[in-house]
Amino acid sequence: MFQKVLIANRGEIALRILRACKELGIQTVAVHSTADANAMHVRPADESVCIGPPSAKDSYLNIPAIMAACEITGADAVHPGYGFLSENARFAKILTEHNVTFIGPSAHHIEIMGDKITAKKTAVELGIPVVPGSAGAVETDEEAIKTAKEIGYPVLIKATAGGGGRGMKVAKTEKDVLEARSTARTEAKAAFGNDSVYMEKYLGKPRHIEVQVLGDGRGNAVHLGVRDCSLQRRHQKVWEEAGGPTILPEERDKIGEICAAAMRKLSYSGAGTIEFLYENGEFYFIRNEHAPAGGASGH
Amino acid sequence: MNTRLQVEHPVTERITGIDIVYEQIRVASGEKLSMTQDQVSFYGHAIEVRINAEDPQTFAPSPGTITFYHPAGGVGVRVDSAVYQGYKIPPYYDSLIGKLIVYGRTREECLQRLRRAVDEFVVDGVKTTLPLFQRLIKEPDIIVGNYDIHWLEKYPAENKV
Repeated sequence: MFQKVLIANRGEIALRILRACKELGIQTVAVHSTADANAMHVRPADESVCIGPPSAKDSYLNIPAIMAACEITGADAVHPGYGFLSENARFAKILTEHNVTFIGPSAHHIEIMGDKITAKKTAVELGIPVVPGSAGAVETDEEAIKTAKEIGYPVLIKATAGGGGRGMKVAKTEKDVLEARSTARTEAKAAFGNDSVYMEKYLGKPRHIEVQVLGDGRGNAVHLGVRDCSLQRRHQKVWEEAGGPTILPEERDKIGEICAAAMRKLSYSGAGTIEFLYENGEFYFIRNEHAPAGGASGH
Repeated sequence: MNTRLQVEHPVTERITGIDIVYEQIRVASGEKLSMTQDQVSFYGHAIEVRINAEDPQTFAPSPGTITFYHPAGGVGVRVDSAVYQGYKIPPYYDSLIGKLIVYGRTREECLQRLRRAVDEFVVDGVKTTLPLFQRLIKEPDIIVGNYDIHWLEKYPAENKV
C-alpha cells in the first residue's frame, strides 16, 4: 500500500479522496492555488503545497508544479480526482517515468478512450453495443438509401466535419433520405467547407444510462450496476439516480456483464464509466463529447 | 468511456456499499479488487443532486461568500461538500457547492427523503440550484421517472409549480 498520496484536485472531490486515504492510514498531501489557501480540502491534509496562482492552467493543470510537489513531499502516488488532469495521458506517463503511481488506468487506456474514433472502434472490438451507422462518409444517394435501410428509420445525416447541429438532418422515411442528405450537404459545405456526410441511427428520446466498472489491471473486473443521468442542463448532469427509475435488474445485469467482460478483455485498471444512450430497451455506446478539455472541473 | 472517478459515484457506493475510491487506491497499489462479481449486490435506490452556486433559472454562476450554511442530515442522507460558513466561493473554478445524496429502500422512499433533505438544506449568501430541485421533486414526470435527456432542457424556467 502507498505511504503518501498527493491529491491533485480541489473542492469536494479532493476531500472525498482525502477521507479514503485517512481510513487506509495513508499520509495525504493537498495541493492548492493561491485562491484556495483556506479551502476545506487543504486543512485536514497532513501536508499542503501551493502550486500556483488562481487560474487552473497555472495551478491544478500545471504538471511541472505538481511534479515538484510530489518531489518535495515524497508522495509515492497521485490521485487526480475528476476533471483537471484526471484524463490526461501525458500526466499519467510523466508520473510513471518519475516512479510515482498514477491512481487511475494506464496512459494507453486513457488515450484510446479519450479519442472519439479509437474509443468507438475499441468498443466495437470489445463487444460493447454502439449506435449503428455508416462505416464512413456516404458518397451516393443509392448508398444513403441502402445504409438507412440497414440502420432502420429514423436516421440522422450528419456532416463528418460537423458540430453544433449544423449539417445535421433527420430522415423519418425513405422519401426523406435524399432531401435530407442534400440539405445536410449544402449546410455542411456552407458551415465547414466540406460537404461530406455520414449516417447513424436517430434516437429521439434517449435516456443517459452509464455503467460503473472496476478493474485490477490483471484481467479481473466487475460492474457496479447502472446510473441514470438523463437530467442534464447544457450537457451538465444535475440529478443522477442509481439504479435508475426504468432499468430492470435483468437489463442492468446484462449490460453490466457486457461492460465487465470488455474490461477483463482490456485488462483495465481502476474505476471507469461506460456511457450509453438508452432507447426502446437498447443500449448505444457514446463517447462523452463534453469531457473536460481542461480548465474547470469536469463531470 | 470515462477513465476516471465520476462526480456521481456516491449513488453507486450507496446502493452497493462499495467504496469506489478505496478500490481505486487498492488496485493502483497492485492489490486485487476486494470483491468478485457475485459479491456485488444492489440494495434500494439512491439519488444525487448537484447543488451549484448558480441562478436556479438561468444557470448563470453566482460566486460569493456563503453567509450561512447548514447541510441536510438524518437517516439516508450523505453530503459531499468542501464549503463552510464564511467560505468565499472563488470565481475561477466550477460552481459545485456540494452533492446531496439520499437513499431509500424504494425509489418512493428515496424521493420522500430527497424532498425533506432539499427543504432542510440551507445555503445563504449565494444563489443555488436548491430551488430547482424543490420544483423538480413535485413534477409528475420526475415522480414516475418519465424523463429523457431533453426533458430538463425543455423545462420552463419558472411559473410551473
